[in-house]
Amino acid sequence: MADKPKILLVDDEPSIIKVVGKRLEIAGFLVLSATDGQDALAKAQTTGPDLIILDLMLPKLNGYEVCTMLKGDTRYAQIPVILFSAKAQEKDEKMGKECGANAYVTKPFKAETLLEQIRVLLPGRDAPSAGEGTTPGVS
Amino acid sequence: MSALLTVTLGAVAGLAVGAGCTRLFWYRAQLLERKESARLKELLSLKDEYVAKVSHELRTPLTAIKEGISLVLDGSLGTVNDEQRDFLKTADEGIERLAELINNILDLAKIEAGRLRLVRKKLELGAVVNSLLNSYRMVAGSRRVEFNQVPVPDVFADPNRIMQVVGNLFSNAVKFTPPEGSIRVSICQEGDHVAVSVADTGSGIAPEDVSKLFQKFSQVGGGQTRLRGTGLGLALCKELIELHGGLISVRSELGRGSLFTFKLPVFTPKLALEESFEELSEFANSSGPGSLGVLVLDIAADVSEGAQQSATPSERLAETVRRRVQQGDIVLAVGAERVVVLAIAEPNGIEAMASRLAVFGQSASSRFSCGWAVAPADGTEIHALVERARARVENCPARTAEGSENG
Repeated sequence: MADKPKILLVDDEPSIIKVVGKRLEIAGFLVLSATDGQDALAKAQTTGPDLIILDLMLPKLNGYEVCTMLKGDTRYAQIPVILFSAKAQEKDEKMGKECGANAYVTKPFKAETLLEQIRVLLPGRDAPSAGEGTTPGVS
Repeated sequence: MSALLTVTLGAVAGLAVGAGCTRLFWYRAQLLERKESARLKELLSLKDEYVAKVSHELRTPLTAIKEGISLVLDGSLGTVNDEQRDFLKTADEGIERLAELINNILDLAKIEAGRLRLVRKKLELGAVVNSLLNSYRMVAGSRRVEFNQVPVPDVFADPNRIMQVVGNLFSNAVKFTPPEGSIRVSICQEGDHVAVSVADTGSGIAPEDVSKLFQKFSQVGGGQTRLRGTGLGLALCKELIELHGGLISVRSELGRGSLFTFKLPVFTPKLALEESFEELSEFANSSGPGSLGVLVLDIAADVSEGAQQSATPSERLAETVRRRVQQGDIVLAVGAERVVVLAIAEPNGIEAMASRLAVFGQSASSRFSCGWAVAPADGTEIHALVERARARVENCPARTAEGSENG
């Protein structure tokens, strides 16, 4: 019963929280969610996530702002951040790097891509096998 | 507005092809200072924002649908029976088509806003066609697929964009050819172009429809056979090929089939060099004064041309450079002859200029603290070169010496 790695999933779209959250749960993570930038920042500071998946276009504070604030604070700077956005423009990726994000995943995404990024950023905290449902192709 | 843009870009592009690229950058420098150019930039950026917003709005629900279906389809949420799987796959294919449509719309919008940037390089077109064709053989099913390949020179093209075009032509050919039909692909050199043809024995296109074929949302065939497609694919192919300085055309006969041909320019170092100047210039224009402004000047060429002109362009260049440097910009001189650089730098004192003057060219002087010398001899490594230049400019000490005045 080792505690599962905790992921804070931030997106203003409830449907994304629902499907991506489910995908992460199945992969063996504990999922917390936030739907705006302020909420994201507060939860990042109080719940101690192991990793944050952060949408860019958010109400109140946008993803860049949240990321910049976290990365500028020594208490939270080490939490890996994956920017998660439908904006597929070069300049977004560049801005992502500038605000200190660790990775950038574009929507629509392949589940494996996101999970692979998480594995890279959480070495040694590999998601525990969640039992049934994690092996695709078995039916 | 877009007419103005076309004229402007046309004029600039026209100059680029002529002797030397000096005029191109000179012209751009002037353009940038004009009011209408500022207005143009404003509109372009508004359009860009709009495109980004639309992209976001469409892709987000698409992600939820796709991921939702995928969770069920891969058995993550429990066992799925064959019929359920079949229907979910149909839904998933629909999503794929929708995603493709969105991408096409976005690409077309980007092209119209002049913001689609090709990453062109020396490309073996036959290999690209061959590998794509292999993946399409499965989709083609019982249709006969032939590739008649002869040795051709390399072209100068963006591999991803060309794959998009070739993929589109293949999938059209498969879509419109009956299972007993055939698709013949060929490649050959035609003067300073390489031509790729895709011939099918499909339904063909009526003569009155041929002219509409490359227009947006103009899928022809009317009542009899409403075949699937976004009606944007060929419009995008045309834009992409023309962006490469190529041509796309069609010959077709109703009931007998169609022959699509596109031609791309053969690779030459000169083409690559021109593109690198374009890139640098874009980079320069994208950063505002005082931030990391970079003015790209092909000074060497300007001197040779200036000799034939009554005006003294090098003096005007010198003035522009001085002004930009005073504004805190970094000046990147392409192909600069040392003597001219010195002439420009002298009035302000060469040491003062040195911190903000990056020289990129065959005879760059090591006297400049941020300068470097590279010889783009054959143009094949242009992209690497541009990247290096960019990195050098971005890491230039002058940039960190924020707001410092020069002497």
